[in-house]
Amino acid sequence: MTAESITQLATVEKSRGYWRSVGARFLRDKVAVCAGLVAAGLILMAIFAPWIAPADPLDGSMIKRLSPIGTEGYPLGADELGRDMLSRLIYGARLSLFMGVVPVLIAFAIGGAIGVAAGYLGGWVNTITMRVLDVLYAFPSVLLAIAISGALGAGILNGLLSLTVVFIPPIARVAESVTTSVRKLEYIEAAQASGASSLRIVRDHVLGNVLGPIFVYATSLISVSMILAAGLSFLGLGVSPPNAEWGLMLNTLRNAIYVQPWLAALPGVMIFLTSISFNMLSDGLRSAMDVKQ
Amino acid sequence: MKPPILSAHNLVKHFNAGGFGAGRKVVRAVDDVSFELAHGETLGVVGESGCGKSTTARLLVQLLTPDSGAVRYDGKVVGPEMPLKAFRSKVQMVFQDSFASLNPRMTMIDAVAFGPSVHGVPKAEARRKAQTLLERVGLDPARFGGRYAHELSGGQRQRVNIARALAFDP
Repeated sequence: MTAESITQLATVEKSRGYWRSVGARFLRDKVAVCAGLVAAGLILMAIFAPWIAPADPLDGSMIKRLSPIGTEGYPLGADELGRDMLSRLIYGARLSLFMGVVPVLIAFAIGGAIGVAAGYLGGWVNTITMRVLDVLYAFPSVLLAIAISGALGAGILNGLLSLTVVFIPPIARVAESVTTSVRKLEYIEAAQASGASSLRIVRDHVLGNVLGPIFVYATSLISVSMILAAGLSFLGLGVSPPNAEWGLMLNTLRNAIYVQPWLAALPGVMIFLTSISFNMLSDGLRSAMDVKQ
Repeated sequence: MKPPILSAHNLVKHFNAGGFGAGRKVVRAVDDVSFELAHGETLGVVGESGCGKSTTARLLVQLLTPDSGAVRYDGKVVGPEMPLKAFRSKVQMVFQDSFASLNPRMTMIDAVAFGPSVHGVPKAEARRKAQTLLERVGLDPARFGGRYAHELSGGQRQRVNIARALAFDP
């Protein structure tokens, strides 16, 4: 090895990497950037809830119950127990986002690993794994979540568990499908021909090419998870009172829909805003990751 | 006459093309193929599309397992007498599709350095070797080493594939 070639090692021009070009394409998509800002704002709102909420979300006043929007000291009104709606909506973001993001993240890790393993190994391992998951996939997600939550009982952890179980099969299916298509490509054969072990091939060649599409799909499930979690809370199977959670708030305020319809609609507006921002964010990511060849 | 370095003995590979029982269809991709190659010899295999040339090459580098028959390297049967990893450091394949055979998320220098690093060569040394090989196939490593497959022309990509195959000193 000559000194000249060693010097050249340090001067190799680094091309703009794949993720940097994805970032540049994403930033050009104004709708996706707006959706990302809204999602980031909601996450920040959840994190800093104790500092930005004007009142205690559990502190009620019976004389202020069902106060309309714009009441002094209650900018977004008060709920059926006279608690400040703005503070409850801000605090509600914590549990609602938690129930939206955490089940999807856990399902992404478990379902992604199952799908990548099944897709890469192929053959009977793939057939058995995917048919077992198909059994779970055959149930409508709402019914499956209600059945598992109903069997385990109400509570945040049980709701989390049921939503995770619901999301593992679809994520595993996408992961298996993407991995199967990547496994057939010649660069995987070239890596096999180099004598690399299966684990090394998966780490260096498969994961980088499949994690993006799986992640984008998982992002689109965050909104579904939030809506399902809200549904579970609405049925009394998820978060229990007096905790602030948008689905639960929607449930408790439904009786007030004829008295204060705008007030009753507020938790629904928050669910809609969050789910649509996560959906648009995932659409933007999908477009940005679509490499033109 | 020189002793053969690489030889194929009665290689057979059939693929199932669907159907069950008596209606089962089989594609006889490679049927009883034998040949020998000595040091410095070149062998060209010519045939129409779908006649089994690529399957034969894949059987030779053991990317496919033959239904029957054997591949010998330097007189040793690959598998039972010669470990697959040792064989793969001696025999390499340059794939037909230059784009599909390069990882789209890997720079060219990393793609060439991957093989040596699999065989225990330290990363910095593997990258230096990759630079030398890129130079050898006519690509300036300073200019092309950090690029991705889609940033190169078809001919440049195929040269990277050749460099990758040469990285094992086959």
